[in-house]
Amino acid sequence: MSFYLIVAIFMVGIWGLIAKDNLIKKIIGLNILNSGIVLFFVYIGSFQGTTAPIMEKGIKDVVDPIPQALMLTAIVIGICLTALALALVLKLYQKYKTLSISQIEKMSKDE
Amino acid sequence: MNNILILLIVLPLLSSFLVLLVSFISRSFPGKIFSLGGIALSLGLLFLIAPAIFSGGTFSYSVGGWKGPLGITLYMDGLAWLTSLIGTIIALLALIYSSGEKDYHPRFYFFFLLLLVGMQGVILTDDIFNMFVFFEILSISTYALVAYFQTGRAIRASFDYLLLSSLGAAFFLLGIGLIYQAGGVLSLEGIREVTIHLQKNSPSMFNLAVVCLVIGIGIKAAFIPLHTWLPNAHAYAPTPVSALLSAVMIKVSFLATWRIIDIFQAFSLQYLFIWLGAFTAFLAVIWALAQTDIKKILAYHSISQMGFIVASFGVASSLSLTASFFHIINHSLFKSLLFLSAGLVIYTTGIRDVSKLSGLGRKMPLGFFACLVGSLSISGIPPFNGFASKNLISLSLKNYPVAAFLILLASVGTVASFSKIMRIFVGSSAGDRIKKVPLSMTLPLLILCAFCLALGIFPSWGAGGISRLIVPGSFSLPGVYTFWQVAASILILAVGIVFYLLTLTSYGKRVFGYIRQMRLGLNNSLLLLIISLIFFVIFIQLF
Repeated sequence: MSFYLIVAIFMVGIWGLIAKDNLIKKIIGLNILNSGIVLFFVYIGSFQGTTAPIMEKGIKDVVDPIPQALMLTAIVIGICLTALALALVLKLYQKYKTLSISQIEKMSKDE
Repeated sequence: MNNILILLIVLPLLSSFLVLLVSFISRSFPGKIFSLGGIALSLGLLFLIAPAIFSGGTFSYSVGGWKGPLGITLYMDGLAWLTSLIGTIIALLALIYSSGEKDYHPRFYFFFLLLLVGMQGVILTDDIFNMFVFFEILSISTYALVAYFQTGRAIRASFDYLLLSSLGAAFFLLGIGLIYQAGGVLSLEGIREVTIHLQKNSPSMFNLAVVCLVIGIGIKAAFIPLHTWLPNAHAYAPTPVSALLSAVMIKVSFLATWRIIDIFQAFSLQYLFIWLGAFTAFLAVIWALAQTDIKKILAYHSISQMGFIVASFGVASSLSLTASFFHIINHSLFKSLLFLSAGLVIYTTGIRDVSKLSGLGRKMPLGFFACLVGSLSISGIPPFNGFASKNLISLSLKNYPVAAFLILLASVGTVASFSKIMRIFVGSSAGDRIKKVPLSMTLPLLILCAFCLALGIFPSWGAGGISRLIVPGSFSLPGVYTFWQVAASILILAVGIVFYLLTLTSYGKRVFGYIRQMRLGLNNSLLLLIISLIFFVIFIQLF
C-alpha cells in the first residue's frame, strides 16, 4: 500500500513540474517529486527491521540506516536547489513582472 | 601519493572559500590570485603523479579512513587522470582569459572553483551516491554561473536548465534507490560484482534502474532528445564559463554515462547510442546552420560533436572507444578555443550577430588565426586534431552505413556553418577602431592552438596513449594520414562551402529562418525528458 502512495506522490510531483504554468508551482512540484524519492529510500530501509537505528544497548531489529543517511544529504541538496530556483524566479519576476512561464517565453522571444 | 586524490578535490574547494572570505575582508585585494593558485596547484599535483600513471599505476583513497564497500573510495586510473588533466588545463586557461576580459565579482570565481570541485569529484569517485552529490555541486555552480549576467535571457536559460537537470537528478536518485534495494551496494565496483546476478533475478527492475541512471546523467551530456537546455545556457553564460561548460561539463557527464553503461553491462542501450549519436550529430548541425548568434552556433555544434562522440561510443569496439575518447579530448580543446575566440570578437566589437560583422581579420589578426585553427579543427581538415579523431570515428562506423552517412552529412554541415563564422573576418570593414585586447586574453588562445596542432600532426601520441589506457592488450591503430582520407576531407570542405553558398540564397534563408523559429518551450522539454525515459525503458526491455 505505502509503495503505491509513494509512486502517487512521485507522479504528482512530475505532473506539477510539467503541467503547471506558474514558476513557483513548478518548484513546488519539484519538491514533491523529491519528497517522493526520500520516502522511497526510507521505505527501502524499512524492510529489514522496525525500530529506529539508534545504536544503544538492547536495541535490536533496527531498520537499515544507510538510506536514511543518504536522504539527509539529498534533502540538504534539495533545499539548496529550491533556494537557488526561488532566487531565479524572483529575478525573473523583477524582469518580466509575471510568474507565468508561457508569457515569459513569449516576451523573451521578442527581446 | 594516494592522498593526492583528495587534495585534487580539497584544493579548489579551499581556494573557493578563500576567494569569498578575502572579498568580505578587503574589497581591493585581488581574490582571484587564490583561484589561480588553487587550479595551478591541482595541475602541479596531476603532473606529479604522471610518471606513476604512465607506468600503469592506479591510485585509491578511502575518504575519512572508512574502507569500502560502505565507505567512499576515490579511485584514479589512466582515463580518469587524462580527463582530470584536460579539465584542469582548460579551467586554468579560461580563468586566465577571464582575468583579462572583465572585472568579475569574487562570486564568479567562487562558483568557478566549485565547478572544478564537482568535476574532479565526479571523475574520481567510486561511489554512486557520492557521484550524485558531486554532480549536484557541479550543476548548482553552473546554474549560478549561467545566470551571472542577470539579463532576462540568461536567467531564463539558467532556470530552464535547473528544472530539466533537477528532474534528471531526481531520476538518477531513483535509480540509485532501485539498485540499492536490489543489490544492497553503492560502490561502483560492488555493483559490477552483483550486476550479472541482478540481470538474471530481477531484470525489469534492473533495466528501470539503468535507464533512470543513464537518463539522469544523460540530460547533462546533452545528446538529442535531452539537449533542449544547452543552446541557451551555453550562449548566455559568460564566455569563460561557456568554454568550460562545453569543454568539461558535458564531457564529464558523458564519461559518467560511459562508466555506468560499462558497469551495468547495458549493451543494448549502448547499441541505441549509435543511432542517437548519428541523429544528434545531423540534426544539431541543421539548427546550428539556422542560427545567427555566434555563441549559439557554437553551442549547437557542441551538441553535434557530442553526437560524433556518442555514436562512436555506441559501436563498442576497441577502435571506436579509442576514437570516442580521443574526440572527447580534441573537442574539449577546439571548442574551448572557439568559444574563447568568439568571446574575443564579442569583447572587441560588442556584437554577437554574425550577419552584422565583417572585415575583422585585419583588425584582430590573432583572433582571426585562433578562430581559423578552431574552425579547421572542428571541420576535420588536416593537419588539425579534429581530422585525426573524426577519421577514426568514421573508420569505426564502417559496419553501420546509415549512421556513417548521417555523420558525413554532419561533417558537411559543420564546414558550412563554420564558413559562416569565418566570413566575419573577411570583406570590407567599418572604419571604427576596436578595443585593445590584453595579453591574458590572447595567451590562452595561442596555447590551445598549439595543442590542436600538436595532436593533429602527431595523432599517435593522443590516440595511441588512449588506446593503451582503454584496451589492455596491444592493438594497432589504423593510420590517419592516407591519401584517400585527406582527399575525402578536402572534398567535404568543398561540398560544405558550396552548401554554405546555397544557404545564402533567398530560398535557403527562408528555410533556415523557419527552422530557427522551431524551438521547444520549457514544458515540452520536460515532457520530452519523460517520453525519452519511457522510450528507453521500452527499448531496453525489448532488446
